[in-house]
Amino acid sequence: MKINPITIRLLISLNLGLFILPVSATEVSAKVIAFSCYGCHDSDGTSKKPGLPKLKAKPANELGKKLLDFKYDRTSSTIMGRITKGYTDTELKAVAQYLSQLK
Amino acid sequence: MLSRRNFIKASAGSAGLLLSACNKSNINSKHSPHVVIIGGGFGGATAAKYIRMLDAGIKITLIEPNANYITCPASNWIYGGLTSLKALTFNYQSLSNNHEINVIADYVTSIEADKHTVILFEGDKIRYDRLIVSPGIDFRWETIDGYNKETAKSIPHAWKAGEQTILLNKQLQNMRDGGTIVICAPPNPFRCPPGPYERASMMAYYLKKHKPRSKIIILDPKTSFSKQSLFTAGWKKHYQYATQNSLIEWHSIPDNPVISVDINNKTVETDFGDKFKADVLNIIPAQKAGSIAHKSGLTDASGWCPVTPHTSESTLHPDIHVIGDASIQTPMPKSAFAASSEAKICAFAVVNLLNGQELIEPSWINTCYSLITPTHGISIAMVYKLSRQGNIVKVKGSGGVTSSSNFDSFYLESRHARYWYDNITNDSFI
Repeated sequence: MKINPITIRLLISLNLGLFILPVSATEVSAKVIAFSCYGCHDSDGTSKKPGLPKLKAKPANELGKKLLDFKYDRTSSTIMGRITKGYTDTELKAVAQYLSQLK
Repeated sequence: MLSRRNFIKASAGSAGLLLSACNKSNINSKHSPHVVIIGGGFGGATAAKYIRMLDAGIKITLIEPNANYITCPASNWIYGGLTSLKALTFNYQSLSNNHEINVIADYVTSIEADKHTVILFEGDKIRYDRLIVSPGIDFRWETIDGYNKETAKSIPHAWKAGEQTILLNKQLQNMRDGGTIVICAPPNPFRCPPGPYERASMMAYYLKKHKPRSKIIILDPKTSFSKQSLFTAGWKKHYQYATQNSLIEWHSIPDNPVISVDINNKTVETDFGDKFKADVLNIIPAQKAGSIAHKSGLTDASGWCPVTPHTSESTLHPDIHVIGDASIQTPMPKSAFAASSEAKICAFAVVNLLNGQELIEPSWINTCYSLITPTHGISIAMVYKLSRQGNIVKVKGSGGVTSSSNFDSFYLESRHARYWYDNITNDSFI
């Protein structure tokens, strides 16, 4: 059964409790991606010499824009361009949202 | 079209997100699920910490024989004079005190999978609900005649950091100017694909400063190696590579590999009888999974542990997960970063399985930094996801190596290499 995208948005806005994701169902959750980020970026602020930018509590729209700028090479980078290309735009915005809410 | 399978996954995924935000397996129950982890390296330590981050109620026991962990990553930097063994040493106090992980300093002598029990050298028997095995590597000593655990005490591999690193560095320091270092690189697959070449780079940096008439000869059974074009470009820039005065020579000898060593004369011999005499001999032998994996029937004919990528669960024994170098998680390389990444996904899987939740959709990253000089760094990175068939696949368009068109990159990456090291060790052990 093919679900019309308009129907999906209607169902979500009507909050019928149907957890249909309007994107590919194989999207990775923000938390899973954020955990990956901690492999290079300090996760909990206890690193004595973090060097690389800390990720928590940054405004979501700023961080989201930065990640997308990396992905589309609008801003130069050594490695972030290569990493961000591994995720969809939705995933990048979601991880920015997730990180912005962490204390 | 949203298939039924994807609908269930999607709905459970969202619910799973809510649940996994603060799982608390009933901590008042006498029967909190128990996860036992064998091995306290990047894989095991990260798995322990991240299970705790996902679930406050699961009982976690980490079994590691050594009181301290000395990291292989950055250990090559010792040869360049850039760091010390102390800076590479971590303990388990934070995992124990801050993350409520029960750390046991002992060896596991056997796993009784049917009884869900591990048996320790000191005699204790520990029952688990789920077991994570992260034992690292062991060496295929039989591949080079004359090279074994005993002879490695004088001819170091330094492929497990610690005493071996100190021994190799001492030999480097004591070598005369004009001497020859021979590095025998291993065949695929092995721990840390760029490792032997970063080692040659760091040794060359030292030789250039202190013993410029010396030479490093790499004997390689492989026809290519990780980040090769970046390494050779860096070697040309700094070490006169491909000239008569080059500090480094790379000999690819896939049809004529090193098969034996004369320990007393520090001479290796190839299949066709070519001999290479060294003043400092560094043999990095062919590898396989750590010994507990073999003893416990977790390995296949390749010598490594086959797993279901989504969960890292062994395909040979249920309820046992294998992560890190010992596991087969191709196309991810065998690296500390990959072990950490696999550990996090395994942590999600174990928590999901113990709580009866749908599995999360996984994603992994690997990044390997190498120093050619203290200010010339290079990297290789990749993002991975799960294919519909359940295999780990590279995400198309992502990853790759340092761009050589931007020369600032090499300096920046040399800084990032150090920051990465500080952060990943914090992420895994603190």
